[in-house]
Amino acid sequence: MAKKKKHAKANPGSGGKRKFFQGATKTETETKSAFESVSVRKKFDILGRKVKGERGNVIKARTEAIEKRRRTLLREHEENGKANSFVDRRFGESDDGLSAEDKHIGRLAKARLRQYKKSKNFSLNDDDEDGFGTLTHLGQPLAEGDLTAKPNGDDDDDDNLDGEMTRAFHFGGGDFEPTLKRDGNGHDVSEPERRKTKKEVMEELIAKSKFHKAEKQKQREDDQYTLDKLDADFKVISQGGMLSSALRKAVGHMKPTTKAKSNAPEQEKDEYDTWARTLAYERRGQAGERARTQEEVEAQEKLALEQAERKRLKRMRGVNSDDESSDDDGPQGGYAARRRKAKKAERGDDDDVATDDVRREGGDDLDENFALDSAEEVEDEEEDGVGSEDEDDVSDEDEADDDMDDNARLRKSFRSELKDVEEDLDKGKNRLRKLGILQDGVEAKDSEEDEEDYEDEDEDDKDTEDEDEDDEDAEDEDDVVENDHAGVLRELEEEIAGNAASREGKNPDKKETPRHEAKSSESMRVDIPFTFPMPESYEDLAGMLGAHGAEDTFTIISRIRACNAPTLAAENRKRIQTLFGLLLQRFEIFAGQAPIPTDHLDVLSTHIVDLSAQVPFFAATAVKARVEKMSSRLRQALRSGETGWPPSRTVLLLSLFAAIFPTTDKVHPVMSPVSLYLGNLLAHCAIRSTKDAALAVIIATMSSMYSSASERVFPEAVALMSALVLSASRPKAHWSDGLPTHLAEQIGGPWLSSAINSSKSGTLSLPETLNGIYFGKVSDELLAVVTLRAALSCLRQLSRPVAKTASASEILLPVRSSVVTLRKALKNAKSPSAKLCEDFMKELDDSLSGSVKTPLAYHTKAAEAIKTYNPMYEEDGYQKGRDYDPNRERAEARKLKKQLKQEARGAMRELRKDNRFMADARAKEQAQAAEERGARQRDVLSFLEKQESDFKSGGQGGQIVKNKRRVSKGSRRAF
Amino acid sequence: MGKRNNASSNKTASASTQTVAERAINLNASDSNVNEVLELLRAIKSPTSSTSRDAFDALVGLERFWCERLASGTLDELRESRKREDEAETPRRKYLEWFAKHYRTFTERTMDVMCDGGWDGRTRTLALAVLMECARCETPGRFSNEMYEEVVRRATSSADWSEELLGAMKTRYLTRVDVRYYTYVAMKKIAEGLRTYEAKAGRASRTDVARNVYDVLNATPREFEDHQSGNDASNPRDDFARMLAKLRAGQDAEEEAEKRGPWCEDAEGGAVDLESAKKRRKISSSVGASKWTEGVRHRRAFSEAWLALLRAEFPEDIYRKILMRLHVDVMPHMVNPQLLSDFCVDSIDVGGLTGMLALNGLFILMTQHGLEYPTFYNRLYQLLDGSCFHANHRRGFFSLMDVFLKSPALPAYLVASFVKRFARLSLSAPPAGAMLCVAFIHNLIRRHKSCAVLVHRENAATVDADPFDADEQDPAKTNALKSSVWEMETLRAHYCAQVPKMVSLLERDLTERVKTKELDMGDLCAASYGTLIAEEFDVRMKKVPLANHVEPFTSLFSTPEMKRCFDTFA
Repeated sequence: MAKKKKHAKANPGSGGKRKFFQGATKTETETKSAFESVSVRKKFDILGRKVKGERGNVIKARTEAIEKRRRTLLREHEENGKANSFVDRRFGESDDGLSAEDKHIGRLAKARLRQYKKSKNFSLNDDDEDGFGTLTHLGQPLAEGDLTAKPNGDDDDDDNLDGEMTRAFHFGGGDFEPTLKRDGNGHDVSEPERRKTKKEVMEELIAKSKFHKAEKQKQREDDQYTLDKLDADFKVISQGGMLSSALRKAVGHMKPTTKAKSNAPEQEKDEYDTWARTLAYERRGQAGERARTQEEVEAQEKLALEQAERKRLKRMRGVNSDDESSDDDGPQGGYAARRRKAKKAERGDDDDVATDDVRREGGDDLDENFALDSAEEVEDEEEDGVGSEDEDDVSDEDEADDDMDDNARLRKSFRSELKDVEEDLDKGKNRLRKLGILQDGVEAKDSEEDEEDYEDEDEDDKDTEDEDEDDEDAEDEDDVVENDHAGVLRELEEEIAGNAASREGKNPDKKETPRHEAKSSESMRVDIPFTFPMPESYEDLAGMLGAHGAEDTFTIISRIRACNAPTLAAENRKRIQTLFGLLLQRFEIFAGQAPIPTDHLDVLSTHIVDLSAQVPFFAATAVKARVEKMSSRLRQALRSGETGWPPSRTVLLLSLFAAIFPTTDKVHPVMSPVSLYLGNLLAHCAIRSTKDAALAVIIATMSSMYSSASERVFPEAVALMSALVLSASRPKAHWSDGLPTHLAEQIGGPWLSSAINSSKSGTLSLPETLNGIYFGKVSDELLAVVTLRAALSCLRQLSRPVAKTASASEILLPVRSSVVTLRKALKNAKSPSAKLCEDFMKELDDSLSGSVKTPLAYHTKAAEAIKTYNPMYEEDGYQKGRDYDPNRERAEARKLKKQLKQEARGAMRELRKDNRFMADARAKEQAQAAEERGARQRDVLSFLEKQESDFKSGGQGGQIVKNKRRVSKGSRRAF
Repeated sequence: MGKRNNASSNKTASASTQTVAERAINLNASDSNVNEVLELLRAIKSPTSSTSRDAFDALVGLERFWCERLASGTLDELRESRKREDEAETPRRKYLEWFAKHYRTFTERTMDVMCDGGWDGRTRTLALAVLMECARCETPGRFSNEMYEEVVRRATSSADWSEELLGAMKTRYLTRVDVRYYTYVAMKKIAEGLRTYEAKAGRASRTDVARNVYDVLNATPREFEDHQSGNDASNPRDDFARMLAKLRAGQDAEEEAEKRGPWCEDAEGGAVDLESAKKRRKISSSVGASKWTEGVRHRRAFSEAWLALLRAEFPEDIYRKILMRLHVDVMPHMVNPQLLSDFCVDSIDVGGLTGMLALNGLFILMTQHGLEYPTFYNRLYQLLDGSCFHANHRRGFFSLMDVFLKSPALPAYLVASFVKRFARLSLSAPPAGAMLCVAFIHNLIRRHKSCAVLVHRENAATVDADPFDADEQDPAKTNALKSSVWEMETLRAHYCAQVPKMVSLLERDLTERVKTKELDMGDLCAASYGTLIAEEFDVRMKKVPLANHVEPFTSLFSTPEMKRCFDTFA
């Protein structure tokens, strides 16, 4: 009880439920005396308020405290000064309440118990004379049971005992009444039916499950066997022709008798049978998407364009460039792409075609022709008069279609119908093959796969057939269409057998599309074959292209691409990459030729740009490698003191890169380094001739190409062009006046000054200029004139984005002054350069005048909310004793201090009580000692008195009659 | 070989079939063949009349002949005999006179061989070796500094001073403590004489001499410890260290260590016998320690040589080279580095690249040697211009600039001027330079709260033009504090995406020092186009956007920009 109370005291704040129970028990069992309980006088009774020490039994607490002190303090006191620490552990030795007899009994019991525990493990057969460890059965000692009376064959041989015997003679059973089990000692009874250990239970469980599994397996095997047997039987039957007759009979039941009786050949029956089966499985036709109207198509195109532009702007601004959601432009790698692909597949074919169309509206993608699913749709559109207007290849096809005469068209439609028939037939045949009815040497398709991937396979089939359709279109237009059934069958088999071969393009004139005919119709040569294998090396490609003209080259590359479109085979993507690399290589080689073969380069670049849409990552990697090489070559040249201007190849490559990749992106894996490379050229390459100057202008133009579309500033180009213009207008001796030293060093001379007084006013196109620069086909004077004009124009382009920025005047004022000087220096006021100067000056003045600057305020923060000090409301209401100090640390400290104080006070109180207790104890001890001493004294005194009286009475024990009264009187007086 | 030699000796030594090599052997074989000297001297007279092989042989033979006799004190003997007038006519005296006269001819001719570009490099190097040998043996036990000085003077003022000679000198002789000392002395004299130097035929121009002097001085190792002769082995520590070094590096280390000793005491180096070497050693110890043994004297000689060179006229390339290495190679070894102050200050006043390079030395002088240079920051401000970003030494310049601008005690007007200057320069700088400028601006504004107005000015009225005067050379008068860095807004449109990214760092409130961090200038100072491009390439490609052509792409040469520039001129 006391323990319980202490426990309750220890955690007064614990759950109310528990307290309630404790309270209940207390009220029941504990004292009801009002005197014993603590009474706290409450002024105001508040519901729910808890006052510490409100409830409690004073007397009990005190008794307990005293008891505790007796156990601890007093004991300590008693043992004070005693050295040994012998503890008497004998039973009841410290208990005064027990009588001696009880103590003896208790000790005996304890000793027995100890002995029993010690010997329990080994005492099976031990005949203890006490009978303590004797084995018993059902409460009776084994020795005296009547078990021996039963016939007992062989004790040890357990195998021979059946269940009955076991029950009878082992402890598991016997013919005792079950009631007996419950009297006697419990442990003896429970032994025969001992609980299984967990391990045993689990083992049993496992064994059972294994057994069941084995059962199942066996069953399955049996089933399989039966099935096989049935199949074999059926085969035998069907081969014997029994089945067909039986079937005929069965079908005959369902059909009109006339048909059943008609004596059609067996094959027809067979076919009908197939049809019947096929129909059951045939996929229902689903509603396709309706043909889009003109407006819808246009709206969608517009939408796509807008979307592309939005994305471009986003990249230009460089916001969220890693945003995954924003990119579904072009095939990309990675997980996102895979997911996207999967999604696309879910959406279905038609949708895919639509998005493809949208995506490719920009570049004319050849492989649209070979995206076979879309072919029909394109045709549909054409028939509706919705020809796509911007794609020349599609329009080519259009023309091609027009060329086709009605007869061919008719034939085509018929053929497609025939295809449908074939398709169904094929399915039926396949099924028959599976059953072994049709044995034509063709491997039947796996049944499970067939059923599960039904749809996929269906699509595959369709793909191949579409392909074949194309094949045939080209292949045998003048062939007689066979509707002979046997012919179709034969064709079918051929097709299945030679499918792989035909895919690889072994068929000599496969894949000739009408498009190509149209394209090359006017320049049709006999010596251009229609199909080309994919070139493996540059030699292959060079061999194919040979010395063909640009147009033929276009055709040949188109055909190569057509034969190896990535949609046709998985490995074609890799081939396209190879082709891309080879074309780039060819481009480089051609770009280095003199004079620059413009038409060839155009053709090559068109194809390269197209191809890059198919293999963007490969394109980027290839281009990157080239830029890296260029850049390192430039650094090497600069280090070795060369001017470092790049060869024509590099210049043309740079403009090709600008065609492949967007120039407006803020950060682009390829274009960012390329523009840095341009900057490096413009900043560090020294100009040592008019040709170098012309090249510098071209590079600067390129840099404007890279930067002005996105309104970026290209400081190197502005500085160099401005300096070049300025250097042109000065007399030769003072050409470098007003130029910064490094620019004067870089320019190195008044290369363009010949243009000032020149009367020439020719123009040169870019390729001509390049030819002039690299191969010296143009006179220096003309080149200077053209260069100066181009420099002015380029400077004008470059300064446009600058004019829109905050410190336009700082950059453009020097530009303006150099243009003004040039204008003054130009003698011929009517030359195009002078006019350009004037226009440019006007433009600069317009942009610079009236500009006002607002001082920067970068650190504008969002207005910070004023701190509010709303009162904090307590949900539970005010609690006394809780610290509401908002300063957490202070509250903690105060709490600790308070605790410390409390504890100190409590400890002092306890100490005081201890002292009092000890004083009591000591006083008691003293009193006892005094008592003892007094008693002894009394005894001694009485003895002495007795002696004295003896002595006085003369050995008569004080019995002097004469003095009796007196003595007694006297003695009485004496005391 | 023999045949060719025959032919040549036929040409040179008239009516004699003996080859030069044979004559050289004869000369040294016995004292009676002394007259072979004349023949041999003829062989080294001019490169046109004899082959270099003959000259080579002759030099070797003659060297042995002279050096042996010099080492045994023949010249001393002559000197003594000259004192005694009575011996004037003895044959010995005559021989001695002859000996001395031809010795002079020999040294003259050898110097000619050394200086004449007509001889091949090997012979010229040998000539130098022969002369050095003579310098050692002329007065046994003492290094003949007069002779050496003459050699160096002739060498540096020759028109055909070659790398080979310098290399031979550097590896073989300038490592020797005494040669080094006398080199300094000789260089000082040559440099001082440069002012009055006049180029004659076959001599180098004044600038070339200065260049040569610089080369020699630069090639001289800078070691200024006191030289202890002979007692090296007494220190067991050194002994053990040498043994270890020998064990580790084999024989080379030993030789290397030997070569550091004084040239005049190196017995094994030449063609002299042990006997004379011992003698010399005795003499040298009796004479007492020479000047070159003291490190302090070395240092002084070094300082004087350099100062003499710096006072002289020298070409621009040498100027830059000196400035670049001054604080590393020269300044720490000078007795009184403050003497370089004038040089550095003058250099910084030159401005441009020279000024940039002078900063290094000036910095050391200011920080370690107490030089006061009140207009330092004005100079620094003037040094900062557009060409800084294109200079080869920009890395060092900008890292020094960073050090100079690190001080928090700079006045606000100065810092603001620097900020504006950086901003202006960033407009025309290459991308790496622009990033560097932005980083400087960032750090400066962060260091100086009062300059935060440059990026943030509240409720300010608009202005028509920038109050900052970019042409003002005094940073106190630029009005920079009234301006704002509008240039940063322009940089936001920079074609290199990293520049705008850097500019956006300025948008943070830089006055909050806890939340911001100074940018590390180390990488930025070293950045260039190459590093930027490499950085771009290092980024992993995540996606590759492709150009979307509104019209189908057909021709490479008809893009609108190209057309505008080359066809329409819009």
